[in-house]
Amino acid sequence: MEHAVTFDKVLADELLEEVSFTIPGGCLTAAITARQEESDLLVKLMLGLAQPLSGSISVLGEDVGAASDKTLNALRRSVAVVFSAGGLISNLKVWENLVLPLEYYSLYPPNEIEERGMRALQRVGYAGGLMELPGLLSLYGRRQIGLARAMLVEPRLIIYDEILSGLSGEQRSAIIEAAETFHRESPGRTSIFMTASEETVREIPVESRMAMKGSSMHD
Amino acid sequence: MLGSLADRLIKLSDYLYDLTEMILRAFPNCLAAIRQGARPVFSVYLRQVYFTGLEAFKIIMVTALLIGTVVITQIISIAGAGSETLTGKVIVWIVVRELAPLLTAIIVVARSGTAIAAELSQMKIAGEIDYLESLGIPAATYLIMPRIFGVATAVLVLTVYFEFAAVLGGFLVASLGWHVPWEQYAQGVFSVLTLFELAVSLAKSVLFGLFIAAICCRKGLSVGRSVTQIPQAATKAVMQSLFLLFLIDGVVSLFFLL
Repeated sequence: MEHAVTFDKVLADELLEEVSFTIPGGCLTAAITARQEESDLLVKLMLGLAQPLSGSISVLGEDVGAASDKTLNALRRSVAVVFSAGGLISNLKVWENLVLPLEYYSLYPPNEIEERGMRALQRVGYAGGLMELPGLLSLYGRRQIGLARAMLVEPRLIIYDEILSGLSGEQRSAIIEAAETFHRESPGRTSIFMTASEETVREIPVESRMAMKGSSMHD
Repeated sequence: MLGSLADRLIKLSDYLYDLTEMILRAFPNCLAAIRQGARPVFSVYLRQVYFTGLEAFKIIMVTALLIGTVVITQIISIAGAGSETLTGKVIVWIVVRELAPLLTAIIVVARSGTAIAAELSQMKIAGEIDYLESLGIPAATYLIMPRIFGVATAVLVLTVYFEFAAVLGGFLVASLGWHVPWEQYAQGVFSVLTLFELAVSLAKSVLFGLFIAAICCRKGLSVGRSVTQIPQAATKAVMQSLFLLFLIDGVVSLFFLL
């Protein structure tokens, strides 16, 4: 099976020592890091938002370091990230945040975007207001919208960056269930749960896991 | 001394080059957004026009009426009664050529320049620029380009309103206070108000708008991780915008009107 993510002798910032690992494509994987900052940095490196000091990173077959801006943007459309804080834009309302990527790329006509948006909200069990600003939502609400937005773009790779911490058991279960169902829907889809908490990983039905001991990651 | 001056001039020209490049890059980004039919980008543009243009309308009108009144009063007090034609001419030379674009831009810097710099720096510190980029939405296309064109549009339209309000408001004051007849006032105004004068005035206002937005976006996005940098970014954006306004005004006036 093709690798979804490959880090080859990557050195970046003071947070990480040299890191090498591969994440198989089509799997639901948990990546346990020593600290949340490391999870954040790994996600940024995968998306080309941070540059490594040395080494190479490949995501969905693209060499991230050598990719042009256009290629990176195309790659980012195939990768969805659910950030720990939700990843919402503070001056856009909940609904605008949800459908932003679909509207930006004009992927569907407006009525279809509305239908898909409502369906995604139902899937994550969001019951809050749609015309509120994200600052008024709870952490769980922000993560629900972030997850629904990620589902809408139908990514080949979805990364959950520390999205289970700070939630109640019920909320964690709801998010894990939605994420697992979404993962199973498309056979080639790769899902990665990045977390600094080994306890959290025990709740996730992962197919592979890797741990970062100290600062180096290995299978 | 000379070395330090040369260094400063080099830094200034580098800075102006960067700003110009940022503005020029907005044009192809705009075409790409139009081709793509990116509705969210158009929403950002419209919001910027609303906040910068429509919300500043009242203050612009009041300022224009006051400026028109002050200029008319000064001209009549210097030239005396019977100088109606001169009054019309001078108000065009002073208001249309210089004050309308400049004061409009200064009001926009004070209202919207600070808001843009503070908003973008807050977004940067909260990681929202990375959130956007992670969606494959470049900040240059979604955040910077519509703000640059939104502010330029607003400054252009507000300048036109300012000129109308100052010229007509000035006449009202002159008419009520000194019984200046419309025919003679208008004769003075239209004898010097050529298309060229208007074009230079509007070109100035567009340049002001483009550079104000570029400076404020640049300053807003230049912050690091600390929230204390937000007010610093806003202050720097205002000071640099004001400096550049006077510089552009001087250069354009020298180039076109001498």
